[in-house]
Amino acid sequence: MVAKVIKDPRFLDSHSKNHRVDTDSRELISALRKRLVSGGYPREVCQYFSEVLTEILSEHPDLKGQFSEVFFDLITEAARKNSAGATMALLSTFNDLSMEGRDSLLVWSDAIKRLLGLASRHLDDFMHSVPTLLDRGLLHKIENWIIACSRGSGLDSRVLGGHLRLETRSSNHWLSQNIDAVSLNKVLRKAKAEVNALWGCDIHVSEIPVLSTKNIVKRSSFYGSRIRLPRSYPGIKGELSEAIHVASLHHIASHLRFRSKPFEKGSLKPIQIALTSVLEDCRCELLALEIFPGLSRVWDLFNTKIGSTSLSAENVFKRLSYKILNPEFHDANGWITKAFESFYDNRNRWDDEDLSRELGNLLGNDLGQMRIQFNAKTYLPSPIYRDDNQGIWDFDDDIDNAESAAAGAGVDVEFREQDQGKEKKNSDIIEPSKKVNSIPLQAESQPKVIQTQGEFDYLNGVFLDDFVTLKSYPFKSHQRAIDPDVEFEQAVNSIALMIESVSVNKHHLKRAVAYGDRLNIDAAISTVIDLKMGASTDENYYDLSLQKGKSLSVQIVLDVSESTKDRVGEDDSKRLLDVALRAVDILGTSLTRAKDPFSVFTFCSDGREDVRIGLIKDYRQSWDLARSRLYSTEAGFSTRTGAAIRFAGQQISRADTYRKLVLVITDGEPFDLDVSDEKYFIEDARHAVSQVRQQSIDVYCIGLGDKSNTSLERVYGKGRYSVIKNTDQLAERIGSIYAVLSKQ
Amino acid sequence: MSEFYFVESEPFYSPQGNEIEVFESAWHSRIPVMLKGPTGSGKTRFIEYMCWRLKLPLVTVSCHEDMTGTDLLGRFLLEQDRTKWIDGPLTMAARSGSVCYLDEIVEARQDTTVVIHSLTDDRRLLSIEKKGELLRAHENFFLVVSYNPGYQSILKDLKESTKQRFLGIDLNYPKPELELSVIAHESGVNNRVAETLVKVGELSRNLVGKGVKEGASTRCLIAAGKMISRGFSLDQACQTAVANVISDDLEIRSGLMHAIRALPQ
Repeated sequence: MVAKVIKDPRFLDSHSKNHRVDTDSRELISALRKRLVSGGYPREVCQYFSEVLTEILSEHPDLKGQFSEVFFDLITEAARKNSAGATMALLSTFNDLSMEGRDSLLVWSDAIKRLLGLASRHLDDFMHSVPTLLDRGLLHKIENWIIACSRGSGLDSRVLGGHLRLETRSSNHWLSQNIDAVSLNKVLRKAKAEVNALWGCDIHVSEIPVLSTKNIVKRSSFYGSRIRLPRSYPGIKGELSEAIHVASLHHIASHLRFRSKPFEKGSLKPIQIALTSVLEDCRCELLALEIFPGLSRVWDLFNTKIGSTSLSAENVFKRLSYKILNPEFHDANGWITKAFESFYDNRNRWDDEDLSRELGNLLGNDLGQMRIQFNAKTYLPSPIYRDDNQGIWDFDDDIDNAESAAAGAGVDVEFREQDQGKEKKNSDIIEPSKKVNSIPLQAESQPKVIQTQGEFDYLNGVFLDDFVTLKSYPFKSHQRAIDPDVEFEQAVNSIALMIESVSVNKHHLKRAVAYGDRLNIDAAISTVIDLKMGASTDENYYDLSLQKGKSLSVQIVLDVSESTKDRVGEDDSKRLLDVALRAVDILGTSLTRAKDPFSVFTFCSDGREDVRIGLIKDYRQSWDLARSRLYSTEAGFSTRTGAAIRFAGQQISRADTYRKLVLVITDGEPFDLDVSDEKYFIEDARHAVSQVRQQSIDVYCIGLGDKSNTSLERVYGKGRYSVIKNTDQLAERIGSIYAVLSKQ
Repeated sequence: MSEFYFVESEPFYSPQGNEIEVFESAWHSRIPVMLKGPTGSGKTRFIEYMCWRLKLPLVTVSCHEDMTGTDLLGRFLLEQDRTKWIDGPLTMAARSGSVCYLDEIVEARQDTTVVIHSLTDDRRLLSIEKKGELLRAHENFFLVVSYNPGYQSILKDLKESTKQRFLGIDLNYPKPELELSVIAHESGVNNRVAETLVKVGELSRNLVGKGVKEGASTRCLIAAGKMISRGFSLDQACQTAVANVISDDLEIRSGLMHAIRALPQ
């Protein structure tokens, strides 16, 4: 474990300043210090620099050469753009890490290099988080986390500062997702399968959003079968971070099984409510263990013996819970013994849902007389997997009470009140990350958030959940659809004819035909018999595998980024966007004529928080009405292609056709303003294509314009894209795509 | 009729309800029977039991997508310089007075299954076009089909005109106490292990529609019981005979196995 305390140079061990280093090293350190002093850097920085470098070279003499120069460059860069205090703190970490070993020092050096490259003026912010990061043993992950913070800031310095200080939900999420805790999404499927199988209940699980860093969610919560879990639990790492979610779900499932209706608060005081909740938790768990004894393995991981004999309410409740679940354990406290005996004296009533409230009322009075302090605002149910108790109480409109009970668990009551209302309206809960709202087609004054999506960070090799926000924007202008000209009609006729003639469907076997893929034994024997009998015969002794008709839906995805304003053609007479719109119009009209279901949307982006989706047509709408929306499209902003492809995949996955095709029409490489690494968006788009194809959905791309696009092959794969310069070539390209589909 | 087609010894079968009486009644009235139920719920065992009980020969056909009318009716085969007609299983059963059991009839294409139409109404006739023969079914001929509604989809379903020629007998997963006795009898495990296996079956069936198409059948549970009888642990047996079989999804399998480990062992 790396020391977390950043040492003040004034308290450095005196002998550390006098480490023996060889003459060359002393000369090198002296020379570098002189360069620092001549560069006008603060005196204390220069002094501390030479002390830390002396420390490093005395521990690791082999780092004398190149590392000393790198170290010098890092410190001068840090000192030039940041405060002396931050630079001193940075030097201190180098000093500490030199004792951890050569590798730690080099890893740290790389992380600082990355920080100064991406956020050179944010050393103060970063140093604020360093003790936490190092204390959690995350040294090797810090560089990737810095990259994620930089990408997630959208070039906003204030946001970047917040990320680096670990004050934002996203930053903590990247840290937990990337580094230690197993985040909720990763374990949810397995945990839900386990709970659904064991309890036979249909639970809906979603994550409790963190509204601010002050409101760190510490406990799970539930209303009926709707369960909300924190993304991760403070201090729970590694394998336990998966087990905690499972333990929590089983605990809530036990409430759902053994409690049919919530308790009424009545005249109970907060401490009696908390005690009743503890007894109810124990009652439900013990009943669960009677039928599923193996659950003890799940819960015992977190049911630890309480060493403290403090008489705070929280500690007493923990000890009581432990004693009830472990009757053989001896606890000397008289009240705990009394509560335990009362609970076990009523063992034959454990299936009585009123028992906990009855005992909580009686035993709670004792606690009042014992003057045990209880703070409802800071109280947290224990062990950590237990829920916030809100689901077992009916507080009616007593918001104060609910608020105080929930405050410790970090659950925002107002937020849940709103949710509760939603639940009444719609019992069919969809997890937020998967929820896809239907997009209004009418012009609205404000953009509407459609959904959030993940994005793939190729450098870290992780999929960042809820990283991108998709919004639908109203169409600002209403253009009349362009009337079809002769060339348009010719293109439509050609494509429609070709689409109609192609079979894209399940393969069927046609038997006893003149040519085919394999011999039909019966037909062959009949033919031989006929020949031997001298009768006339045909040569229909093959079976042919073929496709009948077409069952194909198409999702057209049109890139309308700023670059589509570029002029194209010999005389620069038209914009690339005009070519794209005409191509989509031709395609849409052809598909309508061929009666193939299709949908069209446009996309562009202005950073990860604003991926703009313009729905031109969904599968049910008429193309004639949608055409005017198509021609009202305006170009602008950037090209976050990965997000658009994932959205297209979600939309088309609902179609009930045998084959599904996502057709992306774009003019250039994926790009957005908030990340400078060009490869990032290409790799994300490639990842999105792969995700969509895994759902048996075909993804093809038509590149527009005469600029060669080198990323298309990387994103879509060889033979899965083609580039056209004008709409004359569209029919041929569409034909080749359909030909490939019909052969598969 | 060859002895080969008779069920010689009494198959173990515990009735779920009144299916034996219904079948016997249908047999006496010669109304074809459709056995409906999920995989491994005892449909085949039931028909074997009934054939043993009624002392009738049984001809079983496992239907599949590539099966043709010829496969059911029969075909000419070459034999040196002449041809020889070989009856298909349906013709053989109709001619000899056997029970013809078309297992998983929904797997066969609809244009194949229509050949049974004339046999399943009061005509009881089978037209063998290739041979130019109109066969009147033997008085003991009886048609039984099995049908798994779980497989029902747009692509695979019986024609209404086919369905409505049968009496339907539903065979679902047996009730726990019955399933326990079946597992214990068939696999040789003691009642305590059989009881755990019944609960394993319940857990897997809880996942139907949540990542699992069909829960573990009694047949799966018997297989697990046989593994346990041969010295495997409950965990190993359930992993191999249940979890690995009912789902290809590693997360679902893992979740199910964790749930199984919570059961009393």
